[in-house]
Amino acid sequence: MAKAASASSSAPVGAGKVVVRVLAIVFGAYAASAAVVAAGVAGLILAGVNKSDAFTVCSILGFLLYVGLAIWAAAARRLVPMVGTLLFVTAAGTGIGFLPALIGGA
Amino acid sequence: MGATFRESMGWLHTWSGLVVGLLLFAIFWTGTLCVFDREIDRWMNPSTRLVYAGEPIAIDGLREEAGRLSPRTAPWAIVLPTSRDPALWIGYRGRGGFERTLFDPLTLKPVAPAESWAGTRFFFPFHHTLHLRMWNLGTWLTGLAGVAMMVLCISGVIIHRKIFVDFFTLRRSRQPHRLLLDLHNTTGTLGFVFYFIMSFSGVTILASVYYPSGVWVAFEGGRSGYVRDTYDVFSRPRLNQPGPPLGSLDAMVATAREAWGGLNPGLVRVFHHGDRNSYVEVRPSIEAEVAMRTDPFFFDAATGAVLYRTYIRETSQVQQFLTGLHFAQFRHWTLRWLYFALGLLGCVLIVTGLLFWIESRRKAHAAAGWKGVGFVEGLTVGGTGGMVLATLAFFVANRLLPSGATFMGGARYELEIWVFFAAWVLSFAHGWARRGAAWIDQCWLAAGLCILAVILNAATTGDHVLQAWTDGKLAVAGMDLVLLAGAFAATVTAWRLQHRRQGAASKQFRHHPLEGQSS
Amino acid sequence: MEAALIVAVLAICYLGFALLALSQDRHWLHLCGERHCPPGIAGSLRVAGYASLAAGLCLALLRDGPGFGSLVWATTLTVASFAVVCTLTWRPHWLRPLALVCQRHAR
Repeated sequence: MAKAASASSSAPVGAGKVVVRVLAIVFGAYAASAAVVAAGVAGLILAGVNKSDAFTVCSILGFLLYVGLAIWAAAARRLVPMVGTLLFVTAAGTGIGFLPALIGGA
Repeated sequence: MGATFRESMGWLHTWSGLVVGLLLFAIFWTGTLCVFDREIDRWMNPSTRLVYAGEPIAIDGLREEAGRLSPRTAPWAIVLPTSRDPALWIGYRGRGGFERTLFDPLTLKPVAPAESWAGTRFFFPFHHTLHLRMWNLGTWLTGLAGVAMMVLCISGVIIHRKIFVDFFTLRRSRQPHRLLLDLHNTTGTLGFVFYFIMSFSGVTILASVYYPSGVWVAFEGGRSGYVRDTYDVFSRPRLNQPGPPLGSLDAMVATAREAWGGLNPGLVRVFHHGDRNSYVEVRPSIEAEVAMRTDPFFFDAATGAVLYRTYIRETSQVQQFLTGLHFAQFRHWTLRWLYFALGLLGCVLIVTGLLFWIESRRKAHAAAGWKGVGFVEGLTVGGTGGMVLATLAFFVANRLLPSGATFMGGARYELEIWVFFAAWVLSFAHGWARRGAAWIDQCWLAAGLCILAVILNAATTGDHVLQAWTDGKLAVAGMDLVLLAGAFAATVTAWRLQHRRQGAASKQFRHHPLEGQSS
Repeated sequence: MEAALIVAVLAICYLGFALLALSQDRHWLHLCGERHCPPGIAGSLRVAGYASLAAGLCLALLRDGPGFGSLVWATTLTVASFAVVCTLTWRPHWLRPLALVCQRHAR
């Protein structure tokens, strides 16, 4: 572990990039997982699953997804595609999650 | 962040561990204390040191009392005793917040009020809110720490080079960073399942807070809608017409108990007392199973007829299992002690991780003239040793403050909490002032406070270990014994650290006369 | 009976981890003084070790049922394995009788 830490700190990385990556790990991964939870809940309810069941299952899996996405965000080689993917997942999940409500409300 | 996957995980583990380490320690430490929350309650609130062994209880005698105590509009509840929490109490939301009136479970005579927030009302909320109520900030930070713990567990396994070869390896090395890494690795590997499950079940308890997105999509009315639908809560409105008097609560409890297959009730709550639409909720005790069951019966208050029986869906039962295994409110002493041991092991894991960060960088930072190691060292002393000292100061303050004490507008329970936070802040100052030597000071101080707490308990309540043991107040005797064990461990640690430090100083002095003072 | 069973769960898990530790060259060298744990012995030590842990699970389930039993077993595994680590580090001679029995079987 010490070796790994010193090796990575020996390679100079711009402070801005580190900040972006940390934000992506903490907030980007959360936003993406929250959006996927919303989409999953909406999808399961559309498929006829009870809403409590849908929420319980999706939220429990959502935490594992958050953990997975955070690890991936830390490991991804290239910063821009990683951030882009997280943003895309967030946008798509939010869209799918809230679309039925919007249509139903209209 | 790194050339290989393993290097990125090393970066992630090192820096997220450093940033959330102290937060995690505070959560782990208070969580470990909460394993014995009710026992801490008994120790800190001597009026509740009753002995109750599960005798059947009749609560009909409390109907008048409860009706008189509570305001007409709010529901009131009778919380039934358990052997760990022997006082029966009536609770209601009064003008000054939530009010509790305690009773002896067998005689139903009032008992002097509990003056301290102790375990269930101080350490337990601290464990998941950090006493940061503003914008729910503490709850979100705890959730983030829980997820970070899962990330740390996984990244830790990935960067561990020889997880199976080193599975049982703890080398008694003279180099501090070698020993620290071995301790960190073994406590981490061997307790992996416990830490992961605890952080996972911890965050899932508050899933409806952490994933409002899913709640908004599924439930009308947000979180209240979630609670109503998921926990299948029955309610009916007040009619504002006077109703017949409250029927027999004991009969309702008996009906529910029979339907639950003999399970004891935990709570009896009366809604709209005195109204024609008044009804009663009877909930099972959470002591009997791992899962934290909430499947109440609802009765008509006057006739005692069953109005509704709650049905909890299978998926929610899975969540209640996770919740129950995290809360550990079940009656299982072996498991309680195992949880306590593993909680302490988790504290060791976090401290050794932080200390390894410090020790593996000490030389390099000193050579480069950086201040990072010194800063983190003070922070670690305050955040870990200081947390322990603050806890002990909290116990000692509890036994020193006279009943009904107030100071600068703070009630007695608040004064204890102020002492806790003051001791914590002072420990940080002490850590930055004394750096490495602060560990020795704080170990001696912890040992002293442990012994002082035990002496003060005996002096102010008369329940010294033998007396408490023979009277059947095992919670009090147990807490005293754990404090004495803590005093022993702290003394041994302080003594060893002092010798090691003196040895290191004299050795250095022989080789480098000028460097002897700098360490 | 209850108390005896929980002691048995702890003891059998401790034994299991001690056998698993012995199957590793590092600890075999430490306790038996030979560079390598003979391959045949290492295999049977491992089987016996895992079998002991499984026996611990059975006893825990017998004592406490599926809910509490699985939790008791899972937490006992950590405590027992950490106890083996501490024994190997600070009191290795406590495990020497066990090591001698295993070594005698090896010949």
